[in-house]
Amino acid sequence: MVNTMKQFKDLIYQKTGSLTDELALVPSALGVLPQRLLPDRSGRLVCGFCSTGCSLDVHIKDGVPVNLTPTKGYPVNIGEACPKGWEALTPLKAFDRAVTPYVRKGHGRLEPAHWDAALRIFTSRFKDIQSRYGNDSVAFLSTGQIATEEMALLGTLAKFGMGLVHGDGNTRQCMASAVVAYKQAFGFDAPPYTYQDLEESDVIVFIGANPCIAHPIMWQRVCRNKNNPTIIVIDPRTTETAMAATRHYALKPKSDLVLLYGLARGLIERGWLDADFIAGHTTGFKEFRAHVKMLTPDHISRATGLSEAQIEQCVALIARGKKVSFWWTMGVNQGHEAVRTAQAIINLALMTGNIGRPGTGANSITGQCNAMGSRLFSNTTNLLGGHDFCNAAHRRKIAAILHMDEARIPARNSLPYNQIIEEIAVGKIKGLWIIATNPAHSWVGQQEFRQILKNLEFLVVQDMYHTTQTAQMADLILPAACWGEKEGTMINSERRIGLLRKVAKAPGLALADFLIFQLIAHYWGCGELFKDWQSPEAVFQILKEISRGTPCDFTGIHDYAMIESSGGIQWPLPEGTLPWDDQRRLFADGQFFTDDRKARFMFEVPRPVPEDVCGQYPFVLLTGRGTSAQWHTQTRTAKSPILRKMYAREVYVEINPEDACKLSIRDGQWVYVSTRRGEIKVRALVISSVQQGHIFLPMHYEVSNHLTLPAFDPYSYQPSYKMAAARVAKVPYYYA
Amino acid sequence: MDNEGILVHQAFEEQQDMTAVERFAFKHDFHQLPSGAGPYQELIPKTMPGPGQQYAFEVNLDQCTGCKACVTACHNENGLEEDETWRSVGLIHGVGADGPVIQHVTGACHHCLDPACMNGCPVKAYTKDLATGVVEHLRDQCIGCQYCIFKCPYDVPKYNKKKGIVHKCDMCISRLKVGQAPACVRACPNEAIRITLVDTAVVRQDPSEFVRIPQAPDSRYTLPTTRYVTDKRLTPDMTSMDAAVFEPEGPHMPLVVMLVLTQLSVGAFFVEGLVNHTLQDGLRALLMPVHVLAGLAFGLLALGASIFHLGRPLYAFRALLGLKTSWLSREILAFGVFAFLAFVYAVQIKYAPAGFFMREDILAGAVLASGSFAVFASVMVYRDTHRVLWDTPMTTFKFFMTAVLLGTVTVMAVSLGVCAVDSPQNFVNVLRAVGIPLAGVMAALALVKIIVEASLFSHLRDPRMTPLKKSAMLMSGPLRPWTTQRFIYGTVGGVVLPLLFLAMKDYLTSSWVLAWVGVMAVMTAAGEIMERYLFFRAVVPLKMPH
Repeated sequence: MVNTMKQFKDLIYQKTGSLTDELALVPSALGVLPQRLLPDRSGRLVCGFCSTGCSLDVHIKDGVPVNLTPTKGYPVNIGEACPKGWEALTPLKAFDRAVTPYVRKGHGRLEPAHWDAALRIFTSRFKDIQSRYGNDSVAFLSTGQIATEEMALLGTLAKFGMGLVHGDGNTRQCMASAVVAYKQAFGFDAPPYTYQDLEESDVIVFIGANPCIAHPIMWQRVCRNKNNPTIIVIDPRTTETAMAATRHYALKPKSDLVLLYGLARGLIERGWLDADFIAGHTTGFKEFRAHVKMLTPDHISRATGLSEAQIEQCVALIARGKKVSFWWTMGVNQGHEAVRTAQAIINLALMTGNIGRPGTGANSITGQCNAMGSRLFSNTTNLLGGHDFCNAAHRRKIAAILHMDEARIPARNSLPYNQIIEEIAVGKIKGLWIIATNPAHSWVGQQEFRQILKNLEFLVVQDMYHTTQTAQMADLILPAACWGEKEGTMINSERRIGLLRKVAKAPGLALADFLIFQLIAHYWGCGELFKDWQSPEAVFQILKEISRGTPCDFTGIHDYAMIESSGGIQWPLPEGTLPWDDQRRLFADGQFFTDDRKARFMFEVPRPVPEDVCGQYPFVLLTGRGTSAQWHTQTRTAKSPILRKMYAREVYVEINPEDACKLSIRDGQWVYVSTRRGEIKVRALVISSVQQGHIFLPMHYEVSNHLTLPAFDPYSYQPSYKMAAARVAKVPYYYA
Repeated sequence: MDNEGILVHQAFEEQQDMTAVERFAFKHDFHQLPSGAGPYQELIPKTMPGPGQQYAFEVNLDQCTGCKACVTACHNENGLEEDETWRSVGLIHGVGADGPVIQHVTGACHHCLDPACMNGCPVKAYTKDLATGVVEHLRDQCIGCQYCIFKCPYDVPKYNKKKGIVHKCDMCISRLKVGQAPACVRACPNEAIRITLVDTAVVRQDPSEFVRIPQAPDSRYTLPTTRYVTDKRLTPDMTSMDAAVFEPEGPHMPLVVMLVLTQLSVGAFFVEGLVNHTLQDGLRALLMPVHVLAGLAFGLLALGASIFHLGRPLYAFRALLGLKTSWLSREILAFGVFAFLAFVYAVQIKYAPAGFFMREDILAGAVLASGSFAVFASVMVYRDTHRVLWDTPMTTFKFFMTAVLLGTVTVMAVSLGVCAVDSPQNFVNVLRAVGIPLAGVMAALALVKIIVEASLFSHLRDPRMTPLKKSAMLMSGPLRPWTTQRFIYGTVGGVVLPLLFLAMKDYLTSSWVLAWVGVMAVMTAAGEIMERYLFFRAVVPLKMPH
């Protein structure tokens, strides 16, 4: 009776029930969580998007990952994540995952194939090309997105097993300039900092970096800084970071080198230097001083578009700081004189003694999750572990550790990315193997690149999706298991080795890159070489040995379990180091990795930009990150409906209101943007955060790289994505 | 299997092997929070709200850098559908005293003192918690009418198609209850969001201090409680990312049909009354029952159509609970009364002797009065959303004009139609007495309606980006195919054909007349359907700048 009454009452007015319970939350060990998704266990792994290296606790229910929360006590992210991290599981479930190998058939269509057939085609086609054109007629393009152990196996297999000479990584597109800058200045590719420095500085200088959007979890550390730091942002655009800064210097695009030399000049003039540090731990300062003296304040002011007073003020702010840290990222690295620019930043840190102490450093923020692993162990630009292919002693050492014949190790360097592409263009390289990167979208001057790829006799793409722009051009697609479906380690921006765990089943026939490389070794007939490379963790032990005695020595790490229980471990950690701090920085003793243990002042006369504005192309085209919800070519982030809500569906170009007015372009209108490479149709976003005469295009949309300029830094060969000359025109009403 | 085949198989087995999870996974004692105070304690109040207080969000805009972690954290920590978000982050920009300003603005439910969602809900599925002030949505009470989505000026309630109900932010009240911070609060890397206690008197006294964001809706409408604090000066002339790039709203087809047909029905009774007064008894006896039945039939069809709008139509009967505050409840009641009276009227006219239930003129008056009130209630349902395209004058004009226009068309068409079938000898009489006058009336009405509707496009010349300009832009941009059809059907079917008909009336045979009138009627009705379709699609809802 009571029941019936309740049922009747519920019929009219129901306060609780199944629909209410659907979203009910219950307390649990991981916080208050949705009852429906309450896990029975959790697996901890570092995020697979950017180089911040956040740790995520994936919730597992009945063996399936159902949700995640950022790891509370992890020293990197301290319980936080950016939207990509929160949504990290969604791209795994995308409908267009490659679940089987695909082979391009005679009629030109990609058709599913068995692994056995695919691997036979792989070996026979590449061997055939090598037999006709020589071993170096096949090349590979690696990535910063897979585990270090996988990169090492790839690089070793390709170069020592298959006899390839040329291989490079997509890290060329983001980090190469920082690598070269560090190598020349410090003697080793060694970002010196730990994230804690952001909390301890009293002056923080960001050059060409927008961490609020690109590295939000690093920005968190700035927010936690208790010193009320002076934040200086040097960037042509009024970015989110510029808004949050104490001082924003909106310089002319690619005048950063002049400005940095100007700052050095100002510091020298006022004598705001750390003379003891310069004398004791650096070389080349005298020449550097003479070099910057040649630049007059007037010239600096004209070149940068900043007033002499502004530059004076910036100099004073830097000089006033007791713990000054300098941070840069793609705004510097993707420039036509990027290495020297990065070194100009390093010079500022050296001359003011802002290095090796808490809250200081000349700090390159890395891009991809494992760019640092790639820099050390991809066996592309460097021989494994930061060694040199051209150094016989290094080759001997590596051959001994790997129990391989020394002759298998090429005694010459690989060509950099852009030159591999040139070799394809002239028909010297006929076979290409691309792993976990999407250059048909991301490579500078993309349209030309796509044309060049057609010269190949055989193109293999190994990826988690069969739908990327590059995969669609392939002759063979190898389906890869992705982040969360395999094990390994990655190294973040602050040199912290973090762990990847398998928490999800790979779909269909997809295999971990590690397993694919193992299979290829067998099918190629060089499986014997890799008999010790049985598992990622076994490879980790090999890499440890390789690191012994080098600046990145991490022989003190026993195994994966130790990494997990320590919350990631920064290199170096030589065997026997006990105890160690979980926030460590390099060069506390002023000893660098050069032969004389001194850091080098590196500098050069600034060069003119490769493509300046002119009457026909009057705008400077800037490119960069759109939102925190977008990652590179969006192969993954576009798979999440939540992330998709966070950015504009259609590509847009930011243009200053004054310029828009002159061209009678209204906000939201369709416009043509063109450079000497091509023309695209985009929406105008009329916004004053770009200066007059500049336009800004987010890099994530496929058309953006129709326009960028294939110009390269002469030392790092990194593409200069950040500046090109462009024209903007209104789309006539009827074509809109 | 050869050696290689075995290797492939082994690799596959290894890939699919999930036993490692067992080795490394952390196993927790779920069902219990870790001991000790939860993290982020300083971001939530230490005490429950006192008398005259409630919980509220506070956002430090100077800390909000647009990373949008709050949106995803809310999504994950609340276990929402794959594409469902309860929080969103907008961007406003402009030029301040110190140069360019860009400002991200995170927003969710503002837990208003006078929640429009709650006031509009026809089934009382919203409650404002007395102790905490949280505006909670009772998911099991919701019938999925989505009126709260129309009503909320901040675009907060989200329709969940799978469940057929609305979902919304409840400030993670079940987290607050156990001393934990809401998902968005705990997930902001910069600690930009916190929960505070606000005095409701302060909100009432100066609503403009709350949700004080350029381009945000007027706070006086619902008295929101979220406070945005910043040291920057955000000037009113700042604009938002979605100021110039915006998309049409959903079409709500059942509502389109329901509105047009209910209005047709009411209009048919109105026109029928006027026409039948003037007719001789013979013709009246022939036509009146058909007029009344047609009116009733369309009315019932309309009410049936409206059911399809609901996510949970089985619970439609709850819809009268909100009478006290909800115009939607009132509209439903009014149309219920109208349909009942119309039914009684029709039965009496068609089957019962005169005055069987009531005097005919009183009954007709009651039908008309209830119907007119119901159409008025429809007007109120939409104008109560504060959407500019749906303001009182225009909506009143459109709805009542549709009623009279389609009522005229219906009476004309069924008169001629039934006459042709039942009483061909009277055809010429009916044509003279009903057809020709009504065709003239129709042309005049349609012309006026079209002209007034077209006046919207004058806003295209407005230099400011007003809501009406946006509506006009939508209609002339992405909605152009429908706009074109609306005006072609309206002018050709409603004006040109009737005028031609009047001009050629003496030369037409009866079957030509029928066909002609049929085409006029169908085109006019289609035109009105299109008008109403655009009414829904071209409206610019109130919302936070995005």
